[in-house]
Amino acid sequence: MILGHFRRLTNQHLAYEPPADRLEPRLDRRHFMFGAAGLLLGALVVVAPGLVSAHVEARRTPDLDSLPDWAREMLTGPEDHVLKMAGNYEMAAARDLDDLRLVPCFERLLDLAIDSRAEIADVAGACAARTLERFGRADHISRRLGAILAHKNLPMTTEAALHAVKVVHERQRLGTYK
Amino acid sequence: MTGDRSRFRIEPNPPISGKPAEITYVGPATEVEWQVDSGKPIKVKPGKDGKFTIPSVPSGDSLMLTDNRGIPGYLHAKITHTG
Repeated sequence: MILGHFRRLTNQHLAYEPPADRLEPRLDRRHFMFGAAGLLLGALVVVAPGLVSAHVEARRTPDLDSLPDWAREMLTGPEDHVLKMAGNYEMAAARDLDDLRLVPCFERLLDLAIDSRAEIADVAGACAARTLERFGRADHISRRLGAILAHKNLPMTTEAALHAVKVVHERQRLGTYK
Repeated sequence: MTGDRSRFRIEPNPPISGKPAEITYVGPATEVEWQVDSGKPIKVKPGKDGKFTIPSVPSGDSLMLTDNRGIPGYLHAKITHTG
């Protein structure tokens, strides 16, 4: 008797089919969700690399026309002139620290100072290092730190290098180093 | 620019927030500018002896002076805060 009851239950279970009005909407919703997720994933695969590269591109080479004259000059001007005017650039950037488009300008200034043997390169490098620090870009200083310190016989070793070392060490100490 | 290479001298060095600072400029410009951090640049005409005074150094991190003629005419000084 018990076996027969079990068979009946099993048969009922096997024979069970949810009513159509409960089954179909669930399937439709699932299909819709899968479809939407697929579309979203596809869109991300297609669009995301473009967005990321566009962002990086915008950060690395800002639209020159939209920059203030002095910032454009920093990116495109002759090396000697850019190094010479480093102090004025530092003063101008101090008034506009929210504009991260200026970061590549000071990255270039630091690179020019590192590569230059001019006497003013040390002070120009310090202007760049201080401003990059204010922009929260100690990472660039760190990347070039080896090059900065390698200039042991150049005036670059004094002010800018000491400042760069101080920045990197301080960031590491605070755990905010990027 | 700091130290002896600059066309600017500042007394006391470093400048002290809230206290006067006497600037001496030895160079070709007839007008120079100073600025503290993100503040507006202030234009000043030094006297015949090249001196001018900032009556009370504003609170901030850095005092910057320039004659707009390049690095020798630029001075960056950290501001000291007392009390």
